[in-house]
Amino acid sequence: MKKLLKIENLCVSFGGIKALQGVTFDVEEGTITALIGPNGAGKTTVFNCVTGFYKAQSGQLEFEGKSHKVDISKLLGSTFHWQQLFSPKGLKDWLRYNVFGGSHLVAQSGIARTFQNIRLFKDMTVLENLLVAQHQNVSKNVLASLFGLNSFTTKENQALERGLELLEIFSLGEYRDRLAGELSYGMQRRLEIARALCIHPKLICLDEPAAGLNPNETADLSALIMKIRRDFNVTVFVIEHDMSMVMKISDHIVVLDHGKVIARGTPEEVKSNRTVISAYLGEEG
Amino acid sequence: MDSHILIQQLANGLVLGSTYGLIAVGYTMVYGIIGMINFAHGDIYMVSAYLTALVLALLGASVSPVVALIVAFVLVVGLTAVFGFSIERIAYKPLRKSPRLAPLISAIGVSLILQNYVQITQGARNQAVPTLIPGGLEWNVGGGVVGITWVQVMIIIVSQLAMGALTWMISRTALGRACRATEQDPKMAAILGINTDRIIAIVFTLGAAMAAVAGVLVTLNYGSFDFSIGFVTGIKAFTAAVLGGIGSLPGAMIGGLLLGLSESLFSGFVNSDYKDVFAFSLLVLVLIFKPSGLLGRPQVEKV
Amino acid sequence: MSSRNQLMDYIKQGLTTFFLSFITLGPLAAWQLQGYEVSGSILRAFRVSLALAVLRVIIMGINSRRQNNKREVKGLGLHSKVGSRSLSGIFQWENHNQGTKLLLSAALFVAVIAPMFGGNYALTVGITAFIYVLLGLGLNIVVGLAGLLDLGFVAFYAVGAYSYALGAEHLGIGFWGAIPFAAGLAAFLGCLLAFPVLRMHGDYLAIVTLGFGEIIRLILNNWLEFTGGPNGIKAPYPSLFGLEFTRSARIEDGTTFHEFLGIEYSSDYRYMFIYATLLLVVACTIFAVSKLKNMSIGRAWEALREDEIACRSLGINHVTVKLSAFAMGASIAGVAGVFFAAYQGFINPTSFSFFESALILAIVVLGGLGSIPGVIMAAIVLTVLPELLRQFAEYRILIFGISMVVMMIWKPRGMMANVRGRLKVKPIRQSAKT
Repeated sequence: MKKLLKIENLCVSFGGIKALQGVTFDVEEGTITALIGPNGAGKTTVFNCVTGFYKAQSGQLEFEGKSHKVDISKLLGSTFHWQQLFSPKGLKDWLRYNVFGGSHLVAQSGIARTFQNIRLFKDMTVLENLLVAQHQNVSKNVLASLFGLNSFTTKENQALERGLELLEIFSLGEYRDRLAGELSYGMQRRLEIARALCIHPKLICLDEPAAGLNPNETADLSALIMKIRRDFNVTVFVIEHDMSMVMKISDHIVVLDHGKVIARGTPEEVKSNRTVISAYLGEEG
Repeated sequence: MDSHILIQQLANGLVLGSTYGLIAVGYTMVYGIIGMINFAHGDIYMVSAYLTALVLALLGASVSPVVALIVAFVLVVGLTAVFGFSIERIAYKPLRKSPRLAPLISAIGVSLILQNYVQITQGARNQAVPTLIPGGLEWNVGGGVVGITWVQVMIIIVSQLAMGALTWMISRTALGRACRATEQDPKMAAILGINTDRIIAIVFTLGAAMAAVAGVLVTLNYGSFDFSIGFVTGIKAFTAAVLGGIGSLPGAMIGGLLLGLSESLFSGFVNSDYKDVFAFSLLVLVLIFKPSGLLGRPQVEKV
Repeated sequence: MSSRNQLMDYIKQGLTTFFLSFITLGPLAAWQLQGYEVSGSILRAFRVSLALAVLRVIIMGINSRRQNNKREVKGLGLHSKVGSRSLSGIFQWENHNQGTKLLLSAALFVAVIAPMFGGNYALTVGITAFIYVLLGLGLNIVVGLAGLLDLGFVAFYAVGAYSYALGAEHLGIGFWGAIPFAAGLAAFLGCLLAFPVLRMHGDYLAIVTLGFGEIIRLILNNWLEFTGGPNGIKAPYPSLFGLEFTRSARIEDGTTFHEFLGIEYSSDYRYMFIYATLLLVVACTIFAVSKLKNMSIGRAWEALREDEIACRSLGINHVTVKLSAFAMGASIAGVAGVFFAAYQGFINPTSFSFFESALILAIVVLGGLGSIPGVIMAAIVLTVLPELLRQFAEYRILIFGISMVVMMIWKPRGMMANVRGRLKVKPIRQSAKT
């Protein structure tokens, strides 16, 4: 199968603490890949690197983007080398990525994400949350919008239709004019996933989507994740602590501990892996 | 360049910087503990200058200068501390859980209130205090005279003492420990039984008291002031706090001294009309290129 | 709770307020500095503190009554369910409720007919009010929508005013040329300022913009050769199709407005002209800003205010979005500056002090962050009210300050909170009936 995301030898440290020490694994296209590990293993750090919020000190992050292959760390800008002064292209790239670069380019290349502690636009309505996410697709021509030109309204209507459609799928249709902050916790989680899907991603990264949900809601969420993988043709990359959910939905599991990958494989392989058991239960095993 | 002018400017800068450092303490402690810029802090300093003049005028010539000085110090610092406490209680405490912009806007409101209140009660004109302690030290350096008044000597000594006392309090006493705990994690500190509201009130009170120390000293030194001095001095003291690294006490003093010295040299040797522009530009540049300052901890963006 | 306890509480709070205000505000109220002497007596301190204590108790009383009357109205049933599941149709945003629409139209009507009755004085008050409406709308984009607290907004206003005055003197730019010129220059400066502050948040941004505003003012004040320094600079009166509104033409062979129409000269025509043009500009700005709010860029501004990190995770370039907010707000302020200069005929740096920034901020905050009708109302109230209450002129700033604090505590969303757009779907009518 095609590798959608290739992570090679990723190293990140904060101050003196080494959060990631040479993490290497791939996410294959069309799968649901789970990243698990004890607290503080560095799971969210991997996510933040993949989605461009942290810059790795070293290592490769390659993503098969919507149009072409993307080197994620390059999008975040780099330190200046004096040689760049002599190559116009190098200088241009440096300027471009250091001034205009950043995590939004990663998102534009096709990686969407949700957050551990939900980050919705709480004072905006549910529907507006989804419209913001389609910022890239709607017409930004100010004049066209002022005079209500066709080119503007068609695009705008397409965005509205997609938003409404997603709300139906996520059973949030009747709340579209509510403020996002007023929704219940479970709905907010769903809305955040719906919003991430709005940017037409190839890869969607879910950071502990089941945290704080009850068993029923977790089961619904599992079904929903399977559904979006099928219907929206996205690859799902998920961090989750709920093992029953992970085992049920994922095709591939990566286990992280102390900033290192200690095991990879199918749920069955991981379940019976001795290192994994000892990492989770302590060193006795 | 004449060496005596240079030395004179350095001395002036030292005096100026010490007062900036004292005022900067209020900004840096408040920012450290609740993460807001107390925009009205400069105006608290301004109020303390007026209180100094009032106390001195009420005492009149009936008492000796030393007694007048001590009484003025105690009264003004005390009154201003209560001022800081009251402002926190009225304008900031109810906003503890509001969006980030709310306390700042409220602080701007307080700043306007203080300025206008003083303007209404005392008039808009320049005010002055008599010279309390005349004389000073003089040296002959390289063909010129370098002078420093007793009041200026006092400014340098008192500000260092006040800073020392405060630093000792924060780093050694139980109260200081509670302050630092609240700064690190207010919620956890509250769970452990620290009355965080009280700690925050104390920090505001201490900050106001330090500004009052500066207010008394500067008023005695310059002799004249008006209701608008708080604004520019406030921004400069904030610059000092940022320069030294916001949240750090020694940083505030170092930042104050650096700013005072560089401003004094700039106005002595480059252009005195643009000395405020210089200070503001320094603020902008530091915030852009090294927002963590000299001694501050860099902030990591939390995702 | 027993009424006895309540009474004790009232007394306690009243006494605390009395003592605190006596200690803090008392000395300044009691004695006035007269040179090295003081005059006055402690009696005034008593009066001020007593008044505040009484006020405190009254506020407590009102608060407790309000709490008793409050019923649970939380959640549920706020918005009716949408019956139609149809996803296609004609989409329409409803931004304001009927009341605000009516209010806006009424305000517009008054604005159009007022000059017919009010005369010269009403015109000048109206012009000032409109200038502040423009400034409020501009700052509302930056602070209210994009959530970037800009305390140096007055700098762009100054840039607009000076670019008209200096442009006329050095480049020969007329009134009509100055409007786009000032808007462009201010927008450019807005971007220039925004670039370094992009990575800053909240408070730091506020201080840097404040520093920037002061730097601009100090340069205007100190650069004598170019700006005239504290003495200011003359700005030419505006013209319409080359017709001037002066008593006699300044340029040779020029025609003045009253000569062209063959009427008596009156300075009213100039004010009327500025008023009418300004009204047009204000109307266009209101229209444009309310359209922008429902566009992708407006939504991006608000989303950025809510959560910058989430914005980035959705592929929104926070750099350009912030730049556009700064540039848009600045250009509106620039236009306001041109009108100010044209109306005053003379400008100097004192019109562009920090206090002016604080006043514009007060307009945005009191009106309701992000709310267009709120900002318009607040601008008009804050400029017209001081005119009506001339005898309290010295308390003006005090009242601004108090209302800013009270507003933040009592109603942080302002008098007219920003109304969220609600989507109406009008189903397309089926042609074939079954």
